[in-house]
Amino acid sequence: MFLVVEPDVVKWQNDIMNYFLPSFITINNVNRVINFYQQVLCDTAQKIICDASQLKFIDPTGFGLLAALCYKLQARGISIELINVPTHFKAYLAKMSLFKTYGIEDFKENGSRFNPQNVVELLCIQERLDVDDCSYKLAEAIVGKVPGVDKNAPPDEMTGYTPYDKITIPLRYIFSELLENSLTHGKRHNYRDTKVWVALQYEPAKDLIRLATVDNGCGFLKSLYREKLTEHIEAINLALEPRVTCNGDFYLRGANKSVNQGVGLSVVKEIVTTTPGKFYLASGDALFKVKPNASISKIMSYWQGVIIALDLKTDDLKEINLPYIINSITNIGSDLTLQFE
Amino acid sequence: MKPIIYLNQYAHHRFLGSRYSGQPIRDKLETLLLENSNEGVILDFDGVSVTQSFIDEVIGFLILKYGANILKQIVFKNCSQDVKAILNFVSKSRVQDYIKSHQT
Repeated sequence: MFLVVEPDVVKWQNDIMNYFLPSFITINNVNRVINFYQQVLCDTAQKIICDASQLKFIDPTGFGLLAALCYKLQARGISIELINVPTHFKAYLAKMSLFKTYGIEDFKENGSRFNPQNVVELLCIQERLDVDDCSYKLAEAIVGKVPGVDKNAPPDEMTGYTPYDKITIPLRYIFSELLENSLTHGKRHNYRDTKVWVALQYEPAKDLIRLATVDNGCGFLKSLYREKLTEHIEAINLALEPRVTCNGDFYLRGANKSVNQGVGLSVVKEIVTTTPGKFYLASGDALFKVKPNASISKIMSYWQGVIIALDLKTDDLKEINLPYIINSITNIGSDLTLQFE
Repeated sequence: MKPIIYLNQYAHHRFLGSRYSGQPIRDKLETLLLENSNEGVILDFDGVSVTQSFIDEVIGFLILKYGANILKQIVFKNCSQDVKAILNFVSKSRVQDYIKSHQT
């Protein structure tokens, strides 16, 4: 692992090093963003000044990584100050109270160009007991802004679902499985303090949901240590295969061990990729992305943990056929008949 | 009369997603199954959506512990098509896992 020192990232001002935030803090620029993150963390100063004057766009991955950076600095007793924040970004930061807990200035929304119809949320969770509450808050934040969705509309006679259900159920499914994965797998191998930052943006005008989970856990390579892999690319490929992390013999090892079927991530990926949406996954020095074509590549920077980012449209969410997706994950032939009433 | 577990009493705004939320339900289900082995137990899913992880924590765990026969004691009531699909998927795959782990 090595750091690339970007010549325009730092500037000395009054004997204090100012770090310029990258113009684009996004999943598509994750290599540079992580490099910036690592560079700041190498600084031993008691105060870090980040100049946001070059900032043009930040997506949920960016918010998650920025929050993770602020948390790390705060944990080390280092204060961080954001200066020259563009006006419309102040409104975003003001909406996300989490940054205030990390000592970032409480930005006011006065005179901002923030569209009140847009949604932006950033949460941090550490315990599995918070997963359901978190998934509810995030889904509600979006569905409340989707045009034409009436929470009290009668259910469809065929499906039994209301328009509200058709958006919130797949969203909560996605949030739940991703958060569960991060908090379960990420906490292994002495990473008990793993946190997950989950962020989302929703723009009703474009009907576009962007969401991301950023965790600082053990990452896929360590999580799959039994497979004796050496490359993060191999670990990501394997993690996306259904049932790889399944523990099917837990009872023989002890009835109190946790169960895991190893399909949660596969199902989420299929949910997104059956729509025209995008799916990204980064861990260690590897980045996997789908759309338009699936590709996996090495990135120069290293992330200790897992980053997952999705782009979706609510119109596509409503058409998700969960039974079809789940049955397509693996071919399980069996004559088993359950008793339904 | 079969005892009934109403899952909407445990749901968080009509959703049961996490494995954490499945553990107390599984414990209760297991206790009732042991106490009512002749009658069985009803799991009522009315008004509730679930994830595969949740169902695996509740049902998959019990299949791995007791085998496929445990399913003969459980009636799944008021399930949506999504819930039925998830129940079928988890049950079939965990029965396969149970058989594989007990092969000599």
